[in-house]
Amino acid sequence: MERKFYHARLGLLCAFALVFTIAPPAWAQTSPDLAKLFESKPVTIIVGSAPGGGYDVFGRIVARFVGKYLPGNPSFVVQNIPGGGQLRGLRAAMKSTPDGLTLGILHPRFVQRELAGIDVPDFDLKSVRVLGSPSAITVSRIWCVRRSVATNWDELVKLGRPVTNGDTGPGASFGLGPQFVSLIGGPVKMVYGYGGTSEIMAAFDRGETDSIDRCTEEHVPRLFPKWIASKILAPIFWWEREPSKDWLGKLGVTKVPYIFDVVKAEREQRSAFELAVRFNTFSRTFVTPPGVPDNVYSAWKKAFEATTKDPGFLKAAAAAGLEVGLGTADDFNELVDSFGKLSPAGVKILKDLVGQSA
Amino acid sequence: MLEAAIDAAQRLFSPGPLLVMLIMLPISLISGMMPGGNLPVAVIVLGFAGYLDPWITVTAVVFFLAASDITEPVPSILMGIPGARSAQATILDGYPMAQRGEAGIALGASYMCTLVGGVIGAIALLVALPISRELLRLFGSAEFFLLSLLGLLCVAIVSSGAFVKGMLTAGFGLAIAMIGFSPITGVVRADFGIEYLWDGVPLVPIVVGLFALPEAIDLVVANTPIARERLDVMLREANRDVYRGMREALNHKWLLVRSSLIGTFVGMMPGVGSSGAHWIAYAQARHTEKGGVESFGKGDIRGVIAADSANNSVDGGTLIPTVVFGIPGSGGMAILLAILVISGVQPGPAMLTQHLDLTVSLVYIVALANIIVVPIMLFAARFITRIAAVPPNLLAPIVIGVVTLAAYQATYSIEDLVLVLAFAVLGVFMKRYGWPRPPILIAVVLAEIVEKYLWLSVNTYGLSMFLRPQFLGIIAVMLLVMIVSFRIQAGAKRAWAESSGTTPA
Repeated sequence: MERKFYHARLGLLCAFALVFTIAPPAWAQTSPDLAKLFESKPVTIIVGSAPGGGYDVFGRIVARFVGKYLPGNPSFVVQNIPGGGQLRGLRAAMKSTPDGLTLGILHPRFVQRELAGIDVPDFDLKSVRVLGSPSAITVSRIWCVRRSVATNWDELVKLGRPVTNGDTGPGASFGLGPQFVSLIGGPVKMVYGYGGTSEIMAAFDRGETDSIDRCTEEHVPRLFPKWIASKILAPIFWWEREPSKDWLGKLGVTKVPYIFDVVKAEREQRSAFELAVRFNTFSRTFVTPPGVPDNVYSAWKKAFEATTKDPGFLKAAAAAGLEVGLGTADDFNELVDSFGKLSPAGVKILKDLVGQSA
Repeated sequence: MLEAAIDAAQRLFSPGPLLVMLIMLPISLISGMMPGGNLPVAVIVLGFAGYLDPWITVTAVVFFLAASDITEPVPSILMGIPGARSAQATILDGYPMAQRGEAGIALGASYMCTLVGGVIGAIALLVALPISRELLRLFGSAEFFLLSLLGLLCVAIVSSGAFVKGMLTAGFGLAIAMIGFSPITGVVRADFGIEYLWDGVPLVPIVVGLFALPEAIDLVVANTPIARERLDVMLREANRDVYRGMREALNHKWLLVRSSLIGTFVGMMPGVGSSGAHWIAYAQARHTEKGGVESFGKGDIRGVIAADSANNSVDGGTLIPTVVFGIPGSGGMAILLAILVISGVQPGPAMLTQHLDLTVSLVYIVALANIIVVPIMLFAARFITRIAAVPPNLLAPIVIGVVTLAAYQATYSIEDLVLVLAFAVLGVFMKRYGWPRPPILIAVVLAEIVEKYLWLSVNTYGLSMFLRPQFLGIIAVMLLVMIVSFRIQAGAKRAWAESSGTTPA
């Protein structure tokens, strides 16, 4: 009995010795190495658009706050590499050293292109390391028509001509609803080429276009509050997230239909549209190049999560008019997997929606 | 408004903004003279947005943009190197003046016009602010198309004496401008499989290659300094020349004011303003000034006056769509917009109500930039003119080195330098065989704007755009200018014929 007890104590002692032999180096390999890494040089966030754009503004705000959630509290540099519709920036990020000190910001169109079979050079959806998106939110999207033109969908159809809707280009998030209607032969004519939200709304204001897809609480009160007072907007349908009753009241209505309550679409067309909407909610996805070590990647993911809850970050984003919502890497992967469920006809519609059918 | 004006003055004339203007002053003086433009420095200021008080960052970027514009005519006049965004029309008459040993006169006139034009632009901004939203509502894509087309038609103006050649080179410029992503569909055009060309051919390498290098090579081959005449007088009477230039500018008050107002008005048109204003002002001066058709492009000081007045007054104009609608008229305005947004100041109606003091401060900053920088440049002009006397074997290598570096920072790619070389070869041959080079520049700068607004006009208004009162109004003004021009030019020819005793042609 005593012998057994002795052996047990010896075994336990050996186990403890083993733990204390192995654990400290292992522990030293993660935390101190990470701090050393992030202290070694600034982190570069590559933005694929010119300074001043939405992606640039968001990148700079993230750069201000995410550092304190990383070991070593690194400093950040935002580098603008515009060109190719953000492709140059993405490629630069993907070709950078995979040490975790360079991030890129991924536009959803590249994900959709890869999935639709269009090769995006230097970008591999399977191997890119996604950190997440701090702006993965659903927003309320409403399409409105000038009240003097029509007040609801039925009147619009009876009009006998398409109404013009201005936007930047195919696949723009706000224009998905009217763009989809146009693609399936509905009474909408998309007019692409406007520079951005302000230009599009100014064009509608001066009567150049008949409809506006920026008919939201985020834009109208800020840029054209008089539209509310003069009640010139007639909401036709919404998609993505139902608008608040308060906002509808300001627009002079109590209810507005969901897009597919009024627009008749095939099941495949509807699936493609809903998938495109889900992809667009996952905008500004921060990524690192393939090959970044697991511990660094893990540290980044945690930092992102914490940043989206940081009060300073939330305040700065709100001041810049940006809504915050975390989309994790798992959410992203789930979204990518759901593409596989689309039929060939649905894939074609999706390609059209992101402007890749030409 | 008065209260906002007083608040703005109190906040602006406080240590922080004043210190930042002092810091930006030398940076803007040098940056404006570099062919690469002033955007890189503005981007650095953007990095401070959110960390510093918005009054500091906004003051820094607006002061910098306004001040660097003032120094842009220096390379145009002295070395025949147009600016990437502005001070392009200035080379047509400014550089021939420098070659005649009149660089001091050209610079003196340029800075006086810059001062007056800048102040007029600032006053126009202040006056137009309360009605700016209603004013801009009057003009749509059809009018923006017409104005940008008008700028493009200046090709004909700058090609006088070689009209067919000018049209051909402009066509070449339009072809270059088509390369890259279409502004409408996002489809890449004519990239030849080269990723570098996806975003189009960058402007700075074109400017450097087409103008700077051929001029530098020309100096070396001819073995003369820039000033080929009147060199001794130019060096001896540098001060007097500068004052003479200032007086000449004031002697053409009406031209100065008219061109400044054109610059401000065109500057208000989103996208068109900063690129087309000085060309339009130059073209109207050429056709409305006595003898302008014959003498412009050969070193007529009135060409410098018209171009540089508009060049600087446009800053006040471009601020209006930026601040009031959030539509930037240039790269610099886009950065200002970003600074405002990051600082929590949303462009739009709030700029005329809640943030009116900040908006009024923009007027003060533009005016201050002119009032501070212009006297400095006028004082420095007597020394700057000496560049026209520097031996070519000394000047050319420096110019080639500096401008090549400036071209590289277009996209930080080796392809920038390849482009510079290619356009330099083209520029040398064009210069040698009398093919005008400015039409290429005009076409490249304005093509995308013309294409965009033509597309938008056709798809929104259709043929009814020709019936819009605003559209017809602009055409009426253009026709009026043409009629006045014919009468003035005919009158000038008659007067010349009478004085020389010959029958006018």
